[in-house]
Amino acid sequence: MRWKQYKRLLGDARPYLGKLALALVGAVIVAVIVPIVPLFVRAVIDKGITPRHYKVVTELVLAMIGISVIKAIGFGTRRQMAGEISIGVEGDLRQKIYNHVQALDAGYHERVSTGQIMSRATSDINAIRQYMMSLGWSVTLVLQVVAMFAIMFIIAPQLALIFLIAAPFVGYYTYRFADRFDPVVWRMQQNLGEFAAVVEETVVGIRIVKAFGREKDQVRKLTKDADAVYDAAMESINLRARFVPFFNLVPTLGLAAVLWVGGNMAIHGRLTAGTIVALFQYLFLMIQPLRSIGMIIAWGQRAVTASTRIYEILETEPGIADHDGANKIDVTGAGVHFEDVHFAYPDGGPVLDGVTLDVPAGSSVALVGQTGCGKSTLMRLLPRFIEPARGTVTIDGQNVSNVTLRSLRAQIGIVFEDTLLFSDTIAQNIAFGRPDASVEEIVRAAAIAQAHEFIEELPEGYDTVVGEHGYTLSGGQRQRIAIARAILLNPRILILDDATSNVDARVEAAIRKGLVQAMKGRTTIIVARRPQTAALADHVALMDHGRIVDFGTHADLWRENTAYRETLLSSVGVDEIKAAQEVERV
Amino acid sequence: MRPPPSSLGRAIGQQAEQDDSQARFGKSELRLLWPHLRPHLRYGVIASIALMFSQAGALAAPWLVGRGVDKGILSRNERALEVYVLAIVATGIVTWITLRIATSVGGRFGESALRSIRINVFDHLVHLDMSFFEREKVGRLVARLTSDVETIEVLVTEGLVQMSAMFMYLIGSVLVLVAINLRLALVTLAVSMPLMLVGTIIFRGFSERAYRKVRDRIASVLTFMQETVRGVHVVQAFGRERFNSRRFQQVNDDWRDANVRSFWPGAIYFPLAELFGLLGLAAVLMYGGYLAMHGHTVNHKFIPFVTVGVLASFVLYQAATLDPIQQLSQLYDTFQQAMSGLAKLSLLLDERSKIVDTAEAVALDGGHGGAAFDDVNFHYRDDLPLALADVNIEISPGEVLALVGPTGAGKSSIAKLLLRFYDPTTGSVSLDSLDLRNVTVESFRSQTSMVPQEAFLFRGTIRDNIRFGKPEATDHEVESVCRLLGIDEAIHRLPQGYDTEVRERGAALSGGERQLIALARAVLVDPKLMILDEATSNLDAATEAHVEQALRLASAGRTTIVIAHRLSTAARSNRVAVCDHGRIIELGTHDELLARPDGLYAKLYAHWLAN
Repeated sequence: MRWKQYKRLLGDARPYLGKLALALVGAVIVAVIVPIVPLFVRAVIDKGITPRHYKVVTELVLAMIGISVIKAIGFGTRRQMAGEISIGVEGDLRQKIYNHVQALDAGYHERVSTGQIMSRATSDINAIRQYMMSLGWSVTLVLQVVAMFAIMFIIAPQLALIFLIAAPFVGYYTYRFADRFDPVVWRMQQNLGEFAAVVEETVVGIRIVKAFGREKDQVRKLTKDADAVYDAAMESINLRARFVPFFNLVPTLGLAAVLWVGGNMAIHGRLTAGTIVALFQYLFLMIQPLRSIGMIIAWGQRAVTASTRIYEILETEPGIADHDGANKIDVTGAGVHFEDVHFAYPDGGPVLDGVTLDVPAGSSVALVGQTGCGKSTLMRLLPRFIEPARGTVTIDGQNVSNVTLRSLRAQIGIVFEDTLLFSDTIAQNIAFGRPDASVEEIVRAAAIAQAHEFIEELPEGYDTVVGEHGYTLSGGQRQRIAIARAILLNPRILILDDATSNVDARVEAAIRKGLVQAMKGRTTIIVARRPQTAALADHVALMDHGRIVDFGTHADLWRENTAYRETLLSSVGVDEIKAAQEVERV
Repeated sequence: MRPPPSSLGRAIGQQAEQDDSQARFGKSELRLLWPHLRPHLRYGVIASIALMFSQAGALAAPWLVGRGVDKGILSRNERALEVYVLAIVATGIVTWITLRIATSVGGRFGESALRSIRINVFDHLVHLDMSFFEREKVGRLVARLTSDVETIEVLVTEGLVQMSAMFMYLIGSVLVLVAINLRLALVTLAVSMPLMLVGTIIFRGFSERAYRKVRDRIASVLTFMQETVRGVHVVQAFGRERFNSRRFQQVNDDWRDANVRSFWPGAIYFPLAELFGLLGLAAVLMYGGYLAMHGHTVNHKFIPFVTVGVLASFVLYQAATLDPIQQLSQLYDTFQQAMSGLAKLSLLLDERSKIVDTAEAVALDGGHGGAAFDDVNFHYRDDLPLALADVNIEISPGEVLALVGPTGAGKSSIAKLLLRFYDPTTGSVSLDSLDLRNVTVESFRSQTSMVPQEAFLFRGTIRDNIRFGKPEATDHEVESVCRLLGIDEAIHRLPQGYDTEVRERGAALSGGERQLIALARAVLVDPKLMILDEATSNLDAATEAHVEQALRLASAGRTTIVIAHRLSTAARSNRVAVCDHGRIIELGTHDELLARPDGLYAKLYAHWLAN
């Protein structure tokens, strides 16, 4: 058993102490009154029927109804409160996961799939909710057993002792059950997570699945996971089948023992018939609690496992967070400097191998190099998505590692290579980084990004809701919205990852004009994949195998460096060269 | 324009409520379960029989106790007492064994059904057409297969067995009560039954209304969350965390409020039901006590003698009928959730794909990859304007056709129709002179492939990803395709080569590398018809040079449609189709089109050169 985890699980209910207290009061009322009812029955028989006092029968029955009303109130309170607590805890945990996942660094999100995270937020949280719901009930059951045992002890101590014999067996079985159940449940939740991951990625990548006609393969893949879930579930069911009926057997055997021993005592006049009847009633009342113990243990164990999986996320420290005493960044000119930075992914060779690069305030640098040369990685260092293994990245002389993330990222506008938009209106997507932006600001940013025109032509203009991953917009339109989104922040530093590459020829030039506007007065780093883009920057840095191999103006490098020219020059040939020469002339 | 401080939470909530109204539950949900339960019915039957025995055992015990009291204790007969004691032990053991069987076989029954539901719903889902997926949100669909299916879990694994156990127990108890003493039985039932019946009817109304509100809120919560997790890099880059947390809180709180309200009916009903049962007990004590006292005077053949023993066992059975109420109360919310889960699943299963094989569909085989659009008109939805109008084009086998034109001109729509993601509204699209509607989807897909605009890769190794469209491809095939595309070397340079894991936001692979893998994936299936959607635009020029070279080799012998955003790509193709406002306005070779000075292509090209 994992007491620490149990404690943590129950700790999640702490904000609901008031409700918990009410639920417990309800639970206690029920637990106390349930065992009292048989006492009334006994009294009716012994004090009313046997001595033929009908008035006593009436009085006792009325009193019994009275306390039953109180019990009903207790029951109702317990149920409502348990429900509210379980919903509260469920909501809290989901919020906690949500908040925390947003804070976790890029490295974490590369390791853990969306499906796995979502599965914690669904099936694991459900397990906890179910357990919380049963919390008040289990308190009632335990108290009931204890109370009934106490009463039995008072009215017939010799008979009650019989039950003490059973206690160690029940205890041992309970322990064994919980112990064996634990790994099985863990496996089951893990498998459910894998299952969710396959579902999630299939739905996200459905276009590919369909275009390649691989539906059946995905179903086969999923069947494997469904089988794994099934196997683990069956294991847990077989365990339950082995243990739970035992909890049922105990009270029945007790019944036989009481009938035998108690019956003999009654025959010899040492026990009244009423007492015997009351005792049996207690035994019957114990069957249900004892039978339910198995179920509650199973729920509890699943909840603990679920909670462990959830806290696995919550206790993962973000690999990148504010250091103690980190201050807000103080940006004046926004000069960016990379000093001898090294970086490698855990399972790979060096991606950056000693890069030193200076981008003076307000100037711009284009990074040029072949796929895998490290230019994207270099950019990811600046907003601290990743941290260099060695070397420093500074803005106006302040190491980005020593300032608060929030203030740092507020200074940087990024246009990602993939232009993910969220399910919301276009206006909201543009205002993503500054939800309080005014309509005018949104329109101005859209205009700079050359997006205003096409947005106006959409059926609902800026209020058009763009679907998940912007299905309804073309790549070029999405890209321009992504640019507007970055511009709206009015950042001091602009990072553009191949911002214009997906845009069709006619708007490409217009966007470039907009970018020139946007770059004015801002320190800009561009990952450039074609000469026109590289030419936008004051300087270009040619990268190869994680190093900067050449640095200068685009015109100089274009003239003097064959490697540079080849990198930017595709087989497109003549046309591109012409275009590049045009640029050169400008 | 809507003011920026967003009310998305509300909007989602409203949307959810609309869906709620559609998802009415009732018998149809149980009908949905049936096909999945039927193949495993023998388990269900075995479990039920075992359960019947175990319930009989459980019911026999109080009767045996009553007999023991009367025949043993009150008659002072120790031998008779011992017989009843042994009988109780025997029933205990029977119950124990049968319950074991019922639990494990009943569990198998439920889990088998659940497994079959999971697979079948997913199977149904992936075969739905693209218009469905473009409408639905990922988070919502994932919730269907995860949280909704899980709500059924308790119902099918424990619930069905428990419910039938409780039901049998209740019926059995009533029968035993009647057998012991008809009069007492009638009295207790006359008091408790009408009350319970009325209470239950009222309760069902309230509870269903409360649950209808809750129904789909959880999907809104999960959808919001899923989207954030998928796009977490953008969220972080824009410092949106706090704002998002607040918004999530709104959605989450909406869900919470609706849920808390849904508990009230149960919190009132179940205690009341128990109280009604207790009133029945009170009646038994009053009337039975009276009979026991005056039994000698009123006893004749219609009114059997009521002994204290009879009264005792009667009271016990009466109490036993109350047990299931507590249990039912515990499982009730779970059942309600299961029902709403089923309702949502049945909505999903009611969706029909429009892209299906017709009865006379033939397999596409041995063609050359010639494609044609005949008088094609197409719109995505009835209320949307035409996305394509009067499109007529013939693409000869092996041709490379470039589609150019401004954004929204219809290039993507042409590609989607060619991939048969959609069928044209009027007119026909054909491959090798066969209307796509008349060929089997499977044979069609095996002859086509595509490279999407944004390279989506699945979890798994690079090798798995390249093999995606042709899982049976050998390592040699995979590597030769990569060599052809000139990426073999680059992949070998990776730490684990072809076995390098591709991760969800795999930054270990650059955008270019991902694109190349997507390209290799498309080429490996050796399609007759290949569609490239801006496939080369993210590559470095040098890499692109490789790819261009490889593509030229790869596209030999197959028809290739390129959605070209760079006119250089168009210039290299055999023919160019210029799209504008859903029409093909110019069609010809690069040189032919340039020769029309007033043409859009010539203008675009001049404009592009001028840059």
